[in-house]
Amino acid sequence: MKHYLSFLVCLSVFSSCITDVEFSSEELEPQLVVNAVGVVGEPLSVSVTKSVAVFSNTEDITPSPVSDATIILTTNGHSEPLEYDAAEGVYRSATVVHYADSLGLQVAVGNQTASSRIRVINYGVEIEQIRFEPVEQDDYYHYEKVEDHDDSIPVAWSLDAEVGITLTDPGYFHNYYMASATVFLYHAPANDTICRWFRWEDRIHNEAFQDRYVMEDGPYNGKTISLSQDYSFYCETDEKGQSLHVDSMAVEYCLYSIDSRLYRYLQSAYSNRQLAGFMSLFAEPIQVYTNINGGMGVFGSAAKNVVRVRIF
Amino acid sequence: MNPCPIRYAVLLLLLLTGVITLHAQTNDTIVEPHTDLNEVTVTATKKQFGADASQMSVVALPLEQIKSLPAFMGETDIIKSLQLMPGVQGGTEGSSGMYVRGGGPDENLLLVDGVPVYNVNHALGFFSIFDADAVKSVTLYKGSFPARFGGRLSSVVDVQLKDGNLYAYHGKASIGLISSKFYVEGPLWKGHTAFSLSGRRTYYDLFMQPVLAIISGQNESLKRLTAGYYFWDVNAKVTHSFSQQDKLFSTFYMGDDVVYANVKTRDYAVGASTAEERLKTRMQWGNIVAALRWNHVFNSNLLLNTAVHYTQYRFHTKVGMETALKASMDNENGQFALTYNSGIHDVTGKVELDYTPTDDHTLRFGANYTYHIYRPAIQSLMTRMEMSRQVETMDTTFGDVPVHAHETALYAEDEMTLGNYVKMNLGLHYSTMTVDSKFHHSLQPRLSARFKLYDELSLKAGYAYMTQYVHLLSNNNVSLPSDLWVPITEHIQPMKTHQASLGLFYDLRDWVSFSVEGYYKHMDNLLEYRDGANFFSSSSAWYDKVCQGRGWSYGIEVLVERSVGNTTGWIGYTWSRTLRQFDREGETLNQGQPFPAKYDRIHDLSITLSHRFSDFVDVSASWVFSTGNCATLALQQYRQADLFGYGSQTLDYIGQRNNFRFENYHRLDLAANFHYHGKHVPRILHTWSVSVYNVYNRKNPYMMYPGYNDDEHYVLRKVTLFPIMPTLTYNLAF
Repeated sequence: MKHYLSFLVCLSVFSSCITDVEFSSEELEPQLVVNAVGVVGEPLSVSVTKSVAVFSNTEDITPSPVSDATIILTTNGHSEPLEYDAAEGVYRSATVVHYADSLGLQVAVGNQTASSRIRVINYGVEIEQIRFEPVEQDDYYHYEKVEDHDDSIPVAWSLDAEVGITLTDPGYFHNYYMASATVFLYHAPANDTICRWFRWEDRIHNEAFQDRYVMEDGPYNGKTISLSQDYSFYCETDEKGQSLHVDSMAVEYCLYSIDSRLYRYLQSAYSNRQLAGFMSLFAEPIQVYTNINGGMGVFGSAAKNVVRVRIF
Repeated sequence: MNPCPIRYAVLLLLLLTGVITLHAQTNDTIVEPHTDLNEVTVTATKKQFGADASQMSVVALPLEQIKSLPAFMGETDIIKSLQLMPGVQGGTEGSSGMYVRGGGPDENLLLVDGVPVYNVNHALGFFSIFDADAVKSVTLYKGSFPARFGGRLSSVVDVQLKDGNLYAYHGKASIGLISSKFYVEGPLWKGHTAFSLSGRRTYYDLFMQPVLAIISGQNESLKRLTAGYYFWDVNAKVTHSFSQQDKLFSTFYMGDDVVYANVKTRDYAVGASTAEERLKTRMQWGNIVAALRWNHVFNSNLLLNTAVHYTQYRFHTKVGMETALKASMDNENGQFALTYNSGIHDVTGKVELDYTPTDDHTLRFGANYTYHIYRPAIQSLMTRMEMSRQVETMDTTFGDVPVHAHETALYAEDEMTLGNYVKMNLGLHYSTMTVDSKFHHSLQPRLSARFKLYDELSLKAGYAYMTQYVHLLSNNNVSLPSDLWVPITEHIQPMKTHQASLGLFYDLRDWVSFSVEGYYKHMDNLLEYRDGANFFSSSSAWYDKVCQGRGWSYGIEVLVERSVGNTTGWIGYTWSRTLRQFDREGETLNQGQPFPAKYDRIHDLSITLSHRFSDFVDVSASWVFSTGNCATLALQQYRQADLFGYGSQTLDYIGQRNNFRFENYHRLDLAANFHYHGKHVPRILHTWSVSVYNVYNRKNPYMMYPGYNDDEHYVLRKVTLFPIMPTLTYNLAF
């Protein structure tokens, strides 16, 4: 009896209460990831990679592009195989995308297949107005706005400005947009380019991304929409910490009219990235939108409108 | 490797079949006078809900049988016993959460002597508040609800406490490893007034104190450390009989869970002075239930039942800190206290009439009104600084405003017999809810009908439409005391269900009964957390974290039950599916596609068996098996494509909500009870109970979390809370 009791006690005390979960090979098998956005006026480029199992005991989750995929693009009933561009790591079509095209995508890699079908958006909204209004805030730094290149631009400087764009929503159906503004600074001696994106801070509703503004027309359906923000920028320094001499500066405003699939994908992907850290253990996981049958990623469409303004 | 559940199932089924068959062959010739009392109880149960009754989807819990079954930590639990019935599933391991036919834990109406109880859990759900010794009967309705019940979607658990004995004193006491309890009943005025009283307390906290004293003794900075957890509860009932026509019943229940920690530091140097700090934290939650009921019999055809009752659930947390600086010239003292309170209070008045105009009709109709006060979250902050004989204080309260709501219900039902073959219960329930000046109402038809195919075989059908005006905000994983009951708002609509069921019932000569039921349940306005919603975040209102959608559940339940004789037990099996779909604009989950509910368990099997060898020894066993719970888990990751030249990031891939299933759950429990009468006081019956929980030490998952193992590999880790656990309990009864 004593031995029996001892056995029970040992079994109870030394039972391991934390163990690793074993997954089936199906659950660990990499899935196809297909990303493609048909931008009106451009050839379709398709990126194909594979996912990596989270609990696969490997640390590197960076996938390499899949170069041996067979991809068939069907445009309004006409099919064409896509060629692989090794330099870019993407597959490209020979034909360009047009408004309202019906596009089908079939991807095959080994015994895995994925497919998706979309209709390209019907129109693209254009930027009506842009705003860039510098505001000097600190006397210590000196900024001079000049129309053309001027060697007298000081080395130490800062820039505060209000920027914005205006567009008019066409007012039928739901429309979705992605807006960005990028600062380009050119400096000697190699005329290198430094790109800085505006950090859009949403004042309308809480859908701000770090670098882009992604929104649905919602309350603005059929109305003129103004997106504006404060912008603050300080001079760049080189590797030695010395301020760089900036020769010229330009701001590029970019407005994409995107379809609902792309909107949902961008929204959910953004939220998915934001959910990190300890508190995420207590939060509901975020499912990233996909319209790829048999895989993940997104197949969407967009129309692009770009306005570039040289500040000095 | 996991043990093969099928193998266990087949083995146990064979064993059980063998035992039942063996006993069945000999049962006809055995006369068992010592089981008379049990037989009377069970016969009543059969008459009420067997093949002859109109009601279906109802379970009368065989209490005496339940008490002999293996008990978790030696504590017989009503809710855990209900989980062994088909159509009822438990939550996480060891918890007393209840999921009935695809419904959530907040969709169960738990009544103690007719009074709703909001939180039936002790110890984060490992125990329920019901003390089995104080309970007279437990009836579970899973569908085809009679019209007198309303307010919840999925089930009604009607717990009746013992009235007390009008003529003699009886009692029970038990000492377990973690708790002790007593029950006593008897006359206050012989033949007229009886009482019953029971109490229970755990003493795990008392065992902890010596350990904590050693810890604080070894720590140079600590002067004193006390901490612990305990729960207690008290049930009291007084019944007074004025006459054959008038009876008064009063019921009182109160129980609390308490977690506390007190820390006092040793004096430490601060410049030329010394200081000491004290930290006091206390978290307390519990229910209070009080009821006064008057029964008046006008004549043999008309009975009046009038009651007023009060129910309260409260949650209180207090964190206090005091710092005392002892300087040579002057002392400084600082105090800080933060409290958090939430709860719900209900006051109800109701009137019911039972009228039997003929033998073929029994009419029940009634009305009730409930005044609700919801206190979602109220916090207060107090600071007091005493410095150089000057005192500065701050005392402020902030948080949600209490919500007042008014709920009424009217109902009428007729239990009718139509000829020799048809019996039905037809009813109508009308309820209203007024909250924030918004008025909601619902008319709910109910039907339950029996068609006798022949003497012991009947076909039953039922339908019920239910509406629920309150929601429980919970993270669904465990029952936390901070779970909030909230009423419907202008953003959140009442939940509704339509449930239809059909079943065959067969009673085989009073020794075994069979039933097969199929059901389909459609649920609307169900709540789920939105993607990314954080339960602990206070950055947005609770109703912004949830969205509403619909769901449906369907399944088949099989019950084979034997309640009489020396060998009793049942086999309950459920095959079911429970799905959700959230596809309303702005409230989309899972891309609007259907997904399995968290507790969508396809197979659920429970086998219980008790055998009484003699008046001195009985043994029992129970084995449960169920499909694993669902969870939403990212099993794959991928790089987001650089779609517009903004770079790419790593994304988690989740195929669908609740895409991952925990491994199957199964567990065997065994128990043996040894009874004997004392030599000096033969009236006292002593019982030693030995039970073993999880006999073959199955590592069932309680929770999972991602982390790194010893090999520095990123893995999903499974926590098993309850390995094999032997328990010894001592009971005495007189």
